[in-house]
Amino acid sequence: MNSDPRRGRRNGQERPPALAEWILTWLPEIYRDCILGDLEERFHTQVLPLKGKSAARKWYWKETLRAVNPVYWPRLGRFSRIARRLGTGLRWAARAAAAGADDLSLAWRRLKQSPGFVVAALLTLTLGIGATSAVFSLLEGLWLRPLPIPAGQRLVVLNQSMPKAGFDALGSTPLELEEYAQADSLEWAADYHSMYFTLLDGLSPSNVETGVVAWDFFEKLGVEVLHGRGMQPEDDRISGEGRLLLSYGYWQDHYGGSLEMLDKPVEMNNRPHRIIGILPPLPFYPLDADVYMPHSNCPFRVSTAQAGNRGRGGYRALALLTPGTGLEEARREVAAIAQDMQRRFPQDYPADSGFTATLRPLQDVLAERARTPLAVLFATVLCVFLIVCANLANLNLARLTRRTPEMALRSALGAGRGRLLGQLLTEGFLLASAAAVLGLASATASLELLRPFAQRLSVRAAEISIDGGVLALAVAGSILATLIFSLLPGLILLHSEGRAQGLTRRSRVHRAPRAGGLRGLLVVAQVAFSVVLLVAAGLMLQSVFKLQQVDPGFDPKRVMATRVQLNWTLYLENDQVNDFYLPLLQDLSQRPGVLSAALAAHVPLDGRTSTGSYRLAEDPTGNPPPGSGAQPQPAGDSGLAPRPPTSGGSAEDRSGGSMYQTVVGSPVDQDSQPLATYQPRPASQEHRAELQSVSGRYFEVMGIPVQAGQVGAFLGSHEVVVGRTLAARHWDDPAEALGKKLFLGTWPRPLTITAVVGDVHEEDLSTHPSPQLYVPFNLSPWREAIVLLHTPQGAESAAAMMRQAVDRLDPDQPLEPFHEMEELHRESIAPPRQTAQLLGIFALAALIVTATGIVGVTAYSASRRRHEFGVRMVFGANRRNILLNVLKEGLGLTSLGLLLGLPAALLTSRLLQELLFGVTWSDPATYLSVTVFFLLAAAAATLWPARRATSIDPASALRCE
Amino acid sequence: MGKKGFLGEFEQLVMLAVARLKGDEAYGMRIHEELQQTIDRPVSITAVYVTLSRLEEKGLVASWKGEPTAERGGRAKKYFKLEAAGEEALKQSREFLVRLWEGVELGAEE
Repeated sequence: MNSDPRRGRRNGQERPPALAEWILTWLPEIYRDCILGDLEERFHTQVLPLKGKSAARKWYWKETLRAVNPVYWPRLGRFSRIARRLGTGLRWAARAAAAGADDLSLAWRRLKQSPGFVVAALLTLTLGIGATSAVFSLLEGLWLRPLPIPAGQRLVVLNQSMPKAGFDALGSTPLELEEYAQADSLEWAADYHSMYFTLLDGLSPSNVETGVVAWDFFEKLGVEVLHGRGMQPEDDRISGEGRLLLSYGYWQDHYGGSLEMLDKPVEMNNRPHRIIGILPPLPFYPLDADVYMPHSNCPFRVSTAQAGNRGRGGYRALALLTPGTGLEEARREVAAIAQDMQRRFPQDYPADSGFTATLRPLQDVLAERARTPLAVLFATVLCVFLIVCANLANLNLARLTRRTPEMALRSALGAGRGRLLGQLLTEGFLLASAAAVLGLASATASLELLRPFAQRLSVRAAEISIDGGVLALAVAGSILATLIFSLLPGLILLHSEGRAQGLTRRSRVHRAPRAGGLRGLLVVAQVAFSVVLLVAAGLMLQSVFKLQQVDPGFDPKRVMATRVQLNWTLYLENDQVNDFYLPLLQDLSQRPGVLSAALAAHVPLDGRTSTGSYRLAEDPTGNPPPGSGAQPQPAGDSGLAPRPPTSGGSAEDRSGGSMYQTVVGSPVDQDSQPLATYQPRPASQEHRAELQSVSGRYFEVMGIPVQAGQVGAFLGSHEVVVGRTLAARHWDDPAEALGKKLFLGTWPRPLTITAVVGDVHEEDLSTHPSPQLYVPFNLSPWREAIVLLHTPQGAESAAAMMRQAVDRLDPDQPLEPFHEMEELHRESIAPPRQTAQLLGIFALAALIVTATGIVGVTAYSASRRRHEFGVRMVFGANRRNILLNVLKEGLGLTSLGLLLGLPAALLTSRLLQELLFGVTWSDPATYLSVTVFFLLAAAAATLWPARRATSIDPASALRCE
Repeated sequence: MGKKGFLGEFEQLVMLAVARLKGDEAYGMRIHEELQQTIDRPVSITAVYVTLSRLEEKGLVASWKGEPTAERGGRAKKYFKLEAAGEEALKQSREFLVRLWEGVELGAEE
């Protein structure tokens, strides 16, 4: 019927299972058809007629599965061999897993048998892993982690400098930045600054830190506003309503996260503003302000831009690298632009000033202060970690030596070397994992304790957390620890010993020296590491002690201070500022409970200083200086650059002169890079000095000793007070300075020196005080000033008095809380103190761990030598000989460790130099005391096992072997 | 044959099955059946073919194809017969075995 034999007879007839047939088509071609044909023929002719449909199908399936056994496929043979090997591998893995499970339960039982070892191991490993993780989280959060701003990795700080003229950090003016922004490698460059504004929004008046930025600042950073809208070019306008963006934090704190104030008018320094948007919760380094406004909302910035100055410094600047551009390339281009500017404007950038411009990644700038202390701390905790591992290896070696019979028995019963090592590794791993969990928990707990320390090092402290990187480190640490403290001793022991020997207890005596030697070596390594740490800690502690010994030059007792920031729109003129502060001072001094009150532009160690130049009216050498008693110099010739508005910007004298040239470091600035304004070099008669504007009682309140003359009312006078160093610069005896006259900056009228006071550390305690000049506050008033109250009452009552007094003058004036001056002093040495404390703690921990190592080794060796001591005593050795013998062993190891550790300490302490004060890295006293200290500690650690060794009864010692 | 080594046990069994069947009976399915019935254990048909193709390579058996038939799903039978070398090899094997069996007495045998 059907002409195609392939198809024939199929119609309506039962067919072999199609899937089975398909499977058979996998067979090699040479016999595929034969087999298919054979099976089908048999299916139809024999099986189906005899057994029926379902049995036939079953039969076909059975034959199929038998036929496709890969063993018979020549082409698949290779694969089948691989498959077989894979099978073997899987079986092996399964066996290993079973063995692992066995090991685990055995490890658990073994560890339970030695609780002392477990506790010691867990405690020290937790210390090691916890400390390492905690310090690494600081290192990562403050330094290594990319900035959380989208364009953060391309953000660079642009800085102009004139190193040969003494200006390392000159600001930049808008005009200069425009030129830098032309660089192909820079996508964008703009200046920024921050200043305080008084914000009136119907709620209480508040001082808001305001970031003044380019309108496209956030757009360039890749940041989108959370609510409202971002800045547009039309928002950057000089007249009309100002525009504000709120930071997330300020929005939450001040408005409770309500969106009602969005697009509502508010008043800032008496100018209408509108809040147009809210920023996401990101830290906008280096300018983390409450609110942000475009450049043209800041009148100071507008006048700077209009002035079109060059080479006079100005604002800090940020730039954005063009995507795909390397830093080096951008640096070269920027330096070339600076060179070109110097060529075109030689009068603005003197040829001998070394003028140049550089770029530094913002991330590096922010981490600058943190780097050295964190690197030192991290090296320290790594050292502690290694000491801990060495100590555990030591303990474990002792444990293993005791377990040799057990190991030998297991080995005799068929456990391979791998299996025995696996057992040790499992025990180690179990301990290390537990310690990693505990360590991470303790690191998390200690993070909050470390945060204040981090805050003093970097603005990025808020970012510190235990994250993936820290977790990875903890895991890596625990694996490393496992390898060091269980595999190493295990390998050495298994390698060095015929395992079968362990079957006899006696053999322990003959075998032990090898393990004993290794244990000694481990102790030597621990001692060496500990010595390095102790030396470092010793140097740091000594330098902190020296810092604390430094006489700051002032001694404020029960003095409260608060910063006042006047609204610079209302208090624009000097008279207006004086009309606020002078009555306020008078009011406060008369209040009951106030012993005295004073005013100052800033206080020592608050991070602000200002410097200026002066010349003596009569040169002590007898040559009248040119311009002495000179007429007022014409305004504008003073070389006065726009003063950074952060300083309060009120020191310009109405007579046209100015005293101030440089204002550096303001708490408002997030990165403590000093900004300077360059002035042509002072003539030879001109000298530089730190300038302070104060009221007369300032010296009394601050406890600054008057060394010659006396300070009278001061305010309202044309008097000047000089520091001792300044007086010594010109006169042999401070008293000679009295009555002398000097000119300040371009100030037309000379001031008379009426007193010489002690030097004050204005900037920090670690540098020698500069020459200092104090002028009456009213002559050079500052809108932003410090009010100091000497009062036995607390900060709260001081604040209440202040509020009452200010309310009489200006109820809209916001106030800040009072702080104790002593607090400020303590705070100034907090970073080195905390670094030293942490180092000291870690070094102490290392010492304790090492001491236990020494105890362990000597105790073990003493117990091993029981028999020997017994013999010695029988032959006439007295207890003293035995004691000395044991002590010698402990001290010998320690001395060897010292021999290695002291040179290592000499090499590594060099790295500390940057953190040290008043002591050098090679300070012999420190090294000597560490050596003596260590020998004493080692002697104390050896004493206990030594005493135990002497207390043995010779007869029983001999019997026991 | 001798140079090429001895016949394997399964090779001998397959060759003997081919020898017993002869003519148009000696094709895969029948050889397979014959083997299974004689040695009384399941044998994979693939094993039979793999062995046969190896024997063919050694020149001990020869094969040729028949006509396709409907009951085989339109596939052709593949017939096998012993070559002279194959017969020789079988004889030799038998000879060796007989010689080896001489003088051997196993406990359970009569």
